Amino acid sequence: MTSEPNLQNVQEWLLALITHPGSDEAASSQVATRFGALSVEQVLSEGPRQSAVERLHIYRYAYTARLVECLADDFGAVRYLLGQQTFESMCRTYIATHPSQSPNLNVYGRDFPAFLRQLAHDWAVFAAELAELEWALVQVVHSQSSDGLSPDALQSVPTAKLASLRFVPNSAVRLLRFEYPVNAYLRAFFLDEQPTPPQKQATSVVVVRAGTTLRRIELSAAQALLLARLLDAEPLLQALDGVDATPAQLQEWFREWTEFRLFAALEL
Amino acid sequence: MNRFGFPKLGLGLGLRTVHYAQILERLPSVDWFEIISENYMYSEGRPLLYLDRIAEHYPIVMHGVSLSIGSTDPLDFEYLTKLKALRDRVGARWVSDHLCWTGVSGRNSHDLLPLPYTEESLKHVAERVRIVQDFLEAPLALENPSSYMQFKGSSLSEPVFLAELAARADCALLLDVNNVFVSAYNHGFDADAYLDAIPVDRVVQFHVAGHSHEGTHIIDSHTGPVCDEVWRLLGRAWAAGAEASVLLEWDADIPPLEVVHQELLKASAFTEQQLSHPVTSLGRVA
Repeated sequence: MTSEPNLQNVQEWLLALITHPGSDEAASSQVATRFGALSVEQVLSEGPRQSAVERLHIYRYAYTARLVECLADDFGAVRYLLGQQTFESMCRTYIATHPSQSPNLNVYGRDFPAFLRQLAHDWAVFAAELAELEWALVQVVHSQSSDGLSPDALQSVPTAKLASLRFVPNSAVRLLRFEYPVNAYLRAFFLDEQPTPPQKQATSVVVVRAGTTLRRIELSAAQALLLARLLDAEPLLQALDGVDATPAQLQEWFREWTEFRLFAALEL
Repeated sequence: MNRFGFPKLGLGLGLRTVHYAQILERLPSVDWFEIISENYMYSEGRPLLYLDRIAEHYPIVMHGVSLSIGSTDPLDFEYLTKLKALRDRVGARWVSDHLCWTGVSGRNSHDLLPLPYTEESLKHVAERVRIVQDFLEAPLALENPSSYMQFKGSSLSEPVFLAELAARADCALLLDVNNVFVSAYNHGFDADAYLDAIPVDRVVQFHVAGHSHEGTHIIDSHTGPVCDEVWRLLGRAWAAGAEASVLLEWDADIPPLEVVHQELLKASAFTEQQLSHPVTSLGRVA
């Protein structure tokens, strides 16, 4: 940079320094290379008790600490599973490779489950599944939720229309299928029971919010099959194909799913 | 009413999630609540449900952290649209943000980064404030930031920059006296002289908060009680004649509502303001 840097140059230079994942020295030298040898001491003044580099360090530290805290808020059970040190290390790698591009911090963790899944660790799949469940909770908290179907909505559907009936899902619903008993682990974590990583066991769970209440409902394989089809808006008769359940069981499932507001409306 | 037509709301608290239930259950004697705009404007879910219920009982003021008024990136009109929609939804009395920038080139630091105080910055920010105010169809209040570094290229002091900005853009000011105290220590300037340079008739709101003293510098952590010197600065600014509302921020290690409430009540001694409802406990007195 040959002339006095303008405001845009200064901002790009400073943000590059603040978000650089290396040491203060590495950040200074590598960023200076990109910005015409602009040094920290050229742009920032020293303070009464700190050098320019030490003052910049406050912002560099805060940048990572803030995003680690954001991820820890959303993925508390993953942090417990990995331990604080490993969790922070994973967060730092995630932060370095996933710069925030939104003013909305609520979405910063959306790629964290996929990030964990691709790691070459024996805990990666379970950690990723646990993160998926925690992220579903975040999504459901912030999704719009409908009032849901009235308990007698199904009974009012003419018999002739039942076969082609479709269910409109509540926006605040997420159905997840796992290789591990993730929900049991999360429940034990919330109850402060200090859970240990479980053995593989296929499970399904649906997360839903009604009003201010969040629910996590574990599903049998048959329930998960049927619910997945219904949430995909398959007609009722088609959705029931091959589902292993008695009429009484189906009636109970629909009663519970309606009560928990999994569906927003019916389409006849 | 001040020159912007904003009401003097009295003594308020920053609304924090951990206090939702207690607020709704006990309707504490607080004149108003300030929300962090971004905690609600991107949500269509539970946070809004609580906010709607609290807004039925208390005046709400919106305080943002992501407007990035000083950034050289284009203004984010998607952000502004959501901001305006939330303001209209909860009937917020006014909207504020910080004199800072949070990111550039599409990347966000989620920090309140200081600007070089130059004529170039002044012209740039004043123009953007005018655009934002036109969009919001209301004056914007800008807060003096706390900061930990300064630019060698700055040609104006922060209060002179703020005063000139407010005059050029005809905007309101949110004077955070804790930020004045923090930055005065970090940069070695005189906090009283800073206050004297602020145009008091443009101040619509005060912030007070605790901070963390690290020896070489002070971090604006919004934790713990407000220190005596910050209360003194509030009293001095108040005595200068600001027609302003007072708000206590407490964001880290947040204690029970009773503790925050007791801290807020201390503001009465420095501002001649009392809560509009007499207090015998946290509950509203009929």
